[in-house]
Amino acid sequence: MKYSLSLATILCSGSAWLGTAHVQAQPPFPESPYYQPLNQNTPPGVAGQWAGALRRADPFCFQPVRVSLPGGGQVTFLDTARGQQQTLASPAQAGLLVGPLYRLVISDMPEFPGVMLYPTVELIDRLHPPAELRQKYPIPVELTEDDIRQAMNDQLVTKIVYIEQPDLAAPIQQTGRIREENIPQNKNLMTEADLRGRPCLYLRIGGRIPSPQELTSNPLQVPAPVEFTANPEHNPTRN
Amino acid sequence: MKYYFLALGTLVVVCVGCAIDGQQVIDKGEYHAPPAEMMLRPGPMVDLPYPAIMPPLAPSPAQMIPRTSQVRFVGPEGMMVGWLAGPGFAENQLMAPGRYNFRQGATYRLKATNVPGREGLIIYPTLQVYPAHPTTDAYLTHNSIPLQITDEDLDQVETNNFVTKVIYLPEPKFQELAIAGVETLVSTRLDPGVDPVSEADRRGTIMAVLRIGNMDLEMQGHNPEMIEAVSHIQSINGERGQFIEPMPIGPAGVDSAVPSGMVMGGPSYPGQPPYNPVAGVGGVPAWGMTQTGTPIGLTGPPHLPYGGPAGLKSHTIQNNTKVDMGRPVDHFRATVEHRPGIKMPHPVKDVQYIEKHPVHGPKDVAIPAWYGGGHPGAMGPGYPVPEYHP
Repeated sequence: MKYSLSLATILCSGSAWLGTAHVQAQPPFPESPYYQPLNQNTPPGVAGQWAGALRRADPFCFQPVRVSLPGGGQVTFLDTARGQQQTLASPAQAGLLVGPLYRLVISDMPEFPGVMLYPTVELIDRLHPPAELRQKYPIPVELTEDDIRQAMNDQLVTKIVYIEQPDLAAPIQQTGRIREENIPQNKNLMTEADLRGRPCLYLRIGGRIPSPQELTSNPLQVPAPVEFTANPEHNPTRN
Repeated sequence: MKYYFLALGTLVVVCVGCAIDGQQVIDKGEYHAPPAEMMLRPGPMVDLPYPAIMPPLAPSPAQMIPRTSQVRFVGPEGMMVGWLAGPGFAENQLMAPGRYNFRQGATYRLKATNVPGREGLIIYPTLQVYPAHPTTDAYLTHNSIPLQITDEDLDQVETNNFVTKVIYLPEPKFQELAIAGVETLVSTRLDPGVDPVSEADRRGTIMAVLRIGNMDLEMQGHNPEMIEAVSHIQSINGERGQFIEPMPIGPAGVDSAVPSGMVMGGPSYPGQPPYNPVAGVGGVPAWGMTQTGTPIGLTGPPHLPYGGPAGLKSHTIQNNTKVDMGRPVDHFRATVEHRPGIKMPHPVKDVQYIEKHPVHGPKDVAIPAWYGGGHPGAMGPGYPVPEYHP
């Protein structure tokens, strides 16, 4: 009992370090002295491909990802490797692999009736919890109303979710949503995320409606299997 | 004498000053990555799932799906859009606002009718869909290209002007906003003499170009009745529920797509030697086999470094044909330069790693939480309590 409690405490702290680099009037971080080849304009899938080349990818380890929509809605995970899909109510959780590029479908948002959007998710790193706690601590992906509105206006919103570096973490307790920062286009989003911690996930959302072919295939020729939630009625959420 | 040196110095300054602006000798500490096309791939011959010596067995299904750009006809609302498909135009294929996925790297002829407020106006614009560039790939994968024909554009067209609209993604380094959005350049709003395509190319990466004039491509006098007499032309109209894919009238005229990996060698037809053979791969003999052929049917000298001495010591063919093909160029020189030059961070050559461990004194023992929780007996009776014996 003590063992699991100790671990739970450690992981709770870990999950509080999660954040997304998304503007702050005066960035508190200095310019990175290192060259970062990846950025927000890198073609989708390349970062995942490189993560695979860096041996971060494990074909047997699905990283749970939880997608939250503003005001609720439906999230559909598309498994292009097996031609399957699963639709879950927000917040929806499924396991994704590091490397492939995944398409999601978000719909039935009460705040945006009739709107269907097709974001992509690309994992470039993962968490390392004990196996039995894997589903309890997913990588959170939160979409805001502003994100949805900008995507509907055909603007590309790119988010990078990173795990905060403990000594650079904001000294405040994370209560509701994960912390977001807006970074101007003339900055490298990946560099900024890398300065703040360990980048784990790319999320891109825009207004394009993909053709059925695009939805059932993968532009980078990498099969994108999904570990679906075993019981959709019991969609695990973080308490 | 000093006037001589003064004149010489002036001459040097004038000559050299024109060629060097000082940027070449000052190291500003900047890093310049190779172009995006080069960054997209790790390099030739290594970017397939295996070293690209052998060709892939079969193309994956995704490779056979052509890349498309989704064009969103924003307005004017109610305008009907058709396109050239084969010998004739497919009418009313979609109504603005509407969207369609056009194949990249192609030019299409559109037909816009039923423009609200302009009865009887029919225009035949061309739409040039550029291939995805590494800088626009993320945008085009997730967004459509907004295309709007405004009243001002139509006024210009009706007054016999040619309108060019260029939709481009601005260079990120000039964008202060956090969100990537497109911009449109219109030829009629630029100064005379400014090419909107070149200007857009300077400001960012072009995704599509729409050119509108008032040329009538379906004039009554140019009725293809002679063709219809011997063939069958099916008219396609979206109002009757008929839809057809547009046919490109030509390439986009740009070559910005990134070529795929080039396979450098592989097996050939049965009984034929492989092309660009790699020793020891795909049935090609390994190094050292005496396989070198000669046109006289004898086995040639062996490959180094193995094999025995060659039996054939000399093989001479004398060609007495008179040949006059002109003198070859003695020296050919092509000077190429990439500006700014490629400068990457140098590899790390010195790492200093210091690891500090806690130092415990006598009787100062830290017991791990999993082993007892920090105080003796925490795990309950029966569990050993470690003791420190100096």
